[in-house]
Amino acid sequence: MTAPSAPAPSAEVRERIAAYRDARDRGVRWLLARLNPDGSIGDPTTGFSYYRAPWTFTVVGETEAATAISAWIRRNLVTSDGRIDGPYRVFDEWSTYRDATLVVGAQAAMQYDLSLGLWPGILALRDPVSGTFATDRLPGGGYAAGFATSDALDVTGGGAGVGFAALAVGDLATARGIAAFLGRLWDAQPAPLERQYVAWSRTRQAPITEADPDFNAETMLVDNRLDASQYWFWGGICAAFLSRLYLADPRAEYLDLARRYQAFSMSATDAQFTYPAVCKSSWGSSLLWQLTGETQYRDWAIRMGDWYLAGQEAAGWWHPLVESNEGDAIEVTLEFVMHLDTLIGALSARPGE
Amino acid sequence: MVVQQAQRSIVGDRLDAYLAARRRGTDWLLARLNADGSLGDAAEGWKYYRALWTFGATGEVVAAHRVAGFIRRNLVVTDAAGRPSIGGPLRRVLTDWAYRDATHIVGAQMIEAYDLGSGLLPSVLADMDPVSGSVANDHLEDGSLSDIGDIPYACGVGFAALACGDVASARRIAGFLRLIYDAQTELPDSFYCFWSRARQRPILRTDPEFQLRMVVDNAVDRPQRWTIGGISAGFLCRLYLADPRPEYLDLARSYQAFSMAATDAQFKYPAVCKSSWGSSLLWMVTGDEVYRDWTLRMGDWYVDTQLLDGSWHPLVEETEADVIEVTLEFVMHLDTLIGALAARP
Repeated sequence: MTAPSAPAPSAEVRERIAAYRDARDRGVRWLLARLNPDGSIGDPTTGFSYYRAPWTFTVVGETEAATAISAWIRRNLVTSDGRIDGPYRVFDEWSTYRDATLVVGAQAAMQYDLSLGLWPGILALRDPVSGTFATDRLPGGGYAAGFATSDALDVTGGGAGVGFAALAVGDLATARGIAAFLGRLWDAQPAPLERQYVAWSRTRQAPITEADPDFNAETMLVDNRLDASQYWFWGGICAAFLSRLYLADPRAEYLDLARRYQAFSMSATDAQFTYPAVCKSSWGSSLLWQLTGETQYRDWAIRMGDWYLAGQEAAGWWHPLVESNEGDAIEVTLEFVMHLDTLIGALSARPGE
Repeated sequence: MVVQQAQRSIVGDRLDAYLAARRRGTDWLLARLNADGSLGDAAEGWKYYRALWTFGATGEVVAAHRVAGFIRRNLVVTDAAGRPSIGGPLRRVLTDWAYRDATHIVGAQMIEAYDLGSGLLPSVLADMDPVSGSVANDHLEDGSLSDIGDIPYACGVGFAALACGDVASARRIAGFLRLIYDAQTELPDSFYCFWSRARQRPILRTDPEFQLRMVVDNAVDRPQRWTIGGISAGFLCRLYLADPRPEYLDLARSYQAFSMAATDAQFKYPAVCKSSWGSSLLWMVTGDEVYRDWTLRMGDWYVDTQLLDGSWHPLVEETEADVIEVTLEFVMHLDTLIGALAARP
């Protein structure tokens, strides 16, 4: 990590930070207005879409809300064998990602039963060969695979997202395993800066592509040239995880791989900015700016920050891609507030640049 | 506001007062943040070790990351064993070595600055006694460790271990707390809180190196380690969340009971502060009203002793760095207290 030496953020960056902070605070106020007296947020019967609440509320200093919702989750969603389940869970898709995200926030809030206590259950979902994780729960409870097939692992949910949780609970070996998998996956891409295959076959230990009968382009491919609803978050979340891992374990290979994944994100069509899923590109660029001081990442982070401002409703919330109830708006607003917080922190970490 | 009406009827406006006190304290601290990310006069030494924790907990992300950047640039060195550690000329302070670094680690983990968190934990764990699980209080001029290991400093390392997911080390700290508790000979009146590595037992009044600071006499009005019961209970409650063994909760109750049985004169001294740590978390974990009531008493104490400008007085006030140190701590305690009251609507 190179060390900045100048004394204070530039006037332009200070101005942007102030605007992002204002947006963050408006988002927080909107979220706080949806807290219920029992500690839940929104209508919890619509499902576990508030998994990021302890994380977001902790980083913005809303300790009261963070511990209240942690307590509500403790009372209503934690099973006796240390899993998140029961009638309030509702969703099977992205189960591991949701739980891993909860773990990060709970660890920060020092609600260790919801972090260290849940971590073994997540670890049990790891594919022992590849090191990535199953992410979608099958109807009836099992986690044998994602996409309701017996073979495909959705690495967008079971890779970097779980890696953040591994870092939070100090499981560096698992985090390194996920990083190694991301390197292997990158190397297996035929055109890594144009398109990325994001589903992994357990049996073949290779990406699932058009050549495989269960290939589904909508969920298994990110094609940087297409104006379509895709997993635009893919490059950014991988870069962000690898950057956090680099802080814990400063191996150059992690930073190199982070740069490559972020390059994939930043080389996509501008049409990606018409979809909420682009959000995580700010995660990668923010942390790469913090680590490297390279202005391309700062400029991209500021572009992303401005994108958050442009998409925010006057009341403080953001629109999700699919908006079936208020729980969806709470989910995306919890996430965007967290991203803004990360972005503000990263811009602040390099004074004078 | 998320606290239910029934709770509100008891907590009432006091929670709002605690939130306001936390805000005032935070604002006072932010006014001392320098353009380079230092806090106050960095030449005064490593007294702002809690800055990341306090700023992280209060959502002051800009301040947290600016201080983190300053520490990264100016205080992280490689120690004699090749480990990253906190040192260099700006460290200055040799006392309470592992406690300061461990407290810093908790905050670094909170803001995901892992190079300043888990990356530094090995250097802190190196100060742990492999026999008892106690932690040396100080580094001596020649680089060696002090023989004495006091309770709060062991607990500080325990909090850091938990923040880094190192439950095994946290359990060793809990083992030390059990060991030293069982070695007491004058409970409930007095607690010998300094452990000797050489003797593998507490230092007693009859030992030649005994000093008055090495015992807490609960009935006596004097500056003492009023901290020991509360911080032990606070740490053991956090450990209980990670590893819910009843023995940890039982021991937390015992330590907190010692704190709460002390003379009311303890409220004349800033060191009483950590009693809120234990009571807050015991209230959160058990729901026993005795802990809620003590927590409210402690919260009122923070409000009553806060200066109009938002800071608090330390016991010894040589420079503003001492005021920054105690204000960082009290804001953090208020934050813990507020969170615990909110956890039981």
